[in-house]
Amino acid sequence: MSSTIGPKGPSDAATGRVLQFRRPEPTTPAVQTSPTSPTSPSTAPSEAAPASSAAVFDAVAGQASSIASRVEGAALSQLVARLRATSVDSPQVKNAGPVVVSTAEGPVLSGSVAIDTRKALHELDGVVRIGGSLAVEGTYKNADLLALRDLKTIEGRLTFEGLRSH
Amino acid sequence: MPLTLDQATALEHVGDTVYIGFNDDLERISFPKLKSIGGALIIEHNGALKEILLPALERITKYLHIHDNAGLVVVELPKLRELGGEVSLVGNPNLNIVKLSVASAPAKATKLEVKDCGQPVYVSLHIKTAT
Repeated sequence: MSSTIGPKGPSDAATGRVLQFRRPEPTTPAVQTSPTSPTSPSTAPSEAAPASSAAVFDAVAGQASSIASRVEGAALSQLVARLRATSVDSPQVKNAGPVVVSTAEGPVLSGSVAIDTRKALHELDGVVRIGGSLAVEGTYKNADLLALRDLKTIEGRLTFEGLRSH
Repeated sequence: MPLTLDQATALEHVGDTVYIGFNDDLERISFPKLKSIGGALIIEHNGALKEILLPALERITKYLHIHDNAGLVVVELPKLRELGGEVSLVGNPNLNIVKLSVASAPAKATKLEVKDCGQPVYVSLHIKTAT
């Protein structure tokens, strides 16, 4: 009687033997970065760059369109410095959070925001427009969500995920 | 205390997709003034959800998916005029009232998928294909 416990390897159809699993050879993972703002494929001409290149920077487009191989240590520092110097809008160099600006229509949040605490949610009180996306998760009372009552427009995506009642 | 999403009473426009998913305590979704969604509307895996009320919604640029909401009974989008993709109602075993009227949609949007909704689902769906 054959054992049914434990994993079986793939069988060899020719001999009927069970073969051992064999891990594939590790390959160097490609590190991909993309600008925060969506870009059309036509503005990313360097996607077909050879894997051996450390970093491909498209000066014409003014954007770091791809990094085709691992970038570590000094090379990474150099890349970040280069991106900063050229004012490239990249998630690795842009740390400024959303800013609330007073406008004629009311307070406007300039960028995207992810909310996961009651305190953070209450900071949206009175905001009428969000220039990016809004994501809300976490534990709240119904009254906490009244912070969204003045919101008229969200220019990006709206996500409610993992909400629980307080 | 059940959670409701009906406090955003002024919200009129969302420029991209609206996603509401995996909210265990959520019982009701209502955006009374929401008129347009510039992406898809996806509502899935909200076990306690009973009602989806979007009385002013006129336009969904992409598709409408309502999937795997075990307690969902009512879906109302009575003013939907434009829809860019399909309507998919799947895995909502208690859903039995759907008020949905689409006045204009491309041909690809005329697909209506209803699966695993248990009870008979009464869908008031009127799609006039745009030319």
